[in-house]
Amino acid sequence: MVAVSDPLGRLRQEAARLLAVVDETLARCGAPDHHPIWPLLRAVGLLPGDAVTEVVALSLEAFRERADLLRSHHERCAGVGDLVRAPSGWEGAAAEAAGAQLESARAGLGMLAAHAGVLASLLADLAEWAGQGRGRLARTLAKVLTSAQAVELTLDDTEPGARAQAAADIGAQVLAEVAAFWEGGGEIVRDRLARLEPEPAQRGRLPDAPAAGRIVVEF
Amino acid sequence: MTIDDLAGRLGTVAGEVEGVRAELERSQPAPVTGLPSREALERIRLAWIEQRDLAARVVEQIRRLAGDVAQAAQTYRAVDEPGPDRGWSP
Repeated sequence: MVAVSDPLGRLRQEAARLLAVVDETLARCGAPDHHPIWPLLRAVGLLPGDAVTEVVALSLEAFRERADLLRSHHERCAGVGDLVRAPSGWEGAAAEAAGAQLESARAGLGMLAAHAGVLASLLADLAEWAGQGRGRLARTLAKVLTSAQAVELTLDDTEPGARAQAAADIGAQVLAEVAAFWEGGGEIVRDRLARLEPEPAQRGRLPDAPAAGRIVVEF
Repeated sequence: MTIDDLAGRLGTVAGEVEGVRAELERSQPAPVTGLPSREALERIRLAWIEQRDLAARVVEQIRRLAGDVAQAAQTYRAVDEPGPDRGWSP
């Protein structure tokens, strides 16, 4: 779903023509040597118009919907953990084996709930990050749309060197914002996903750990 | 709570977690669709898949446990002499 109701969605339509000229000019004429756009092109891997299209296509609502879903998973998995307990007073070898397996099951449920909570938080934070990033990118687009370089690119008599310079200047501003956008999101993801690693004390009790003894009733 | 009750509860829990697993299966992490080259978003996709797989393993584990507990309850009922175990049928 492409959001068109926020400033970026609306400005994207206004900026599309300018960015198409920027992309075409960069592809045809290149950019001046040592211009700041070069490392940005390498970092983002896209021309400015395509880079903006990618950000516009990112759906905040999709992030929010999945954050809500995972939040409900967290509550459901945490809520059933108390049901996984042996009857009080049950004793014997079968009861001991059942107790160990129930503990393992509770650990699995606990991890499922914890991971759902972390992922929910991650996606909610990404929705907020994307919303803020879209706002910053909209301001950048508004700035370049009204820049002297934009005027240069619309004039027929601008000489090729000046056109390349203007396109590179606009492209660099846009790509810098896009690069910061992706880097900010990457930091959130790296930080939150690092919390998904199972703690050492939990690893031995996960569902894929060696199974506890079977429940065998002896007589 | 009897051992039969526990087996029933485990069945309920397995059903709940299976519902979670199915929702993870249905709701693919759509925000990353079309952007596989972005490492961060690819990691979200992988974390989502790992969560779905963990849910599947928990379901399998609890179902197996429910079966074992139900079998134990059946065995207790089937014999006249309960042996060394205690408290299996309060």
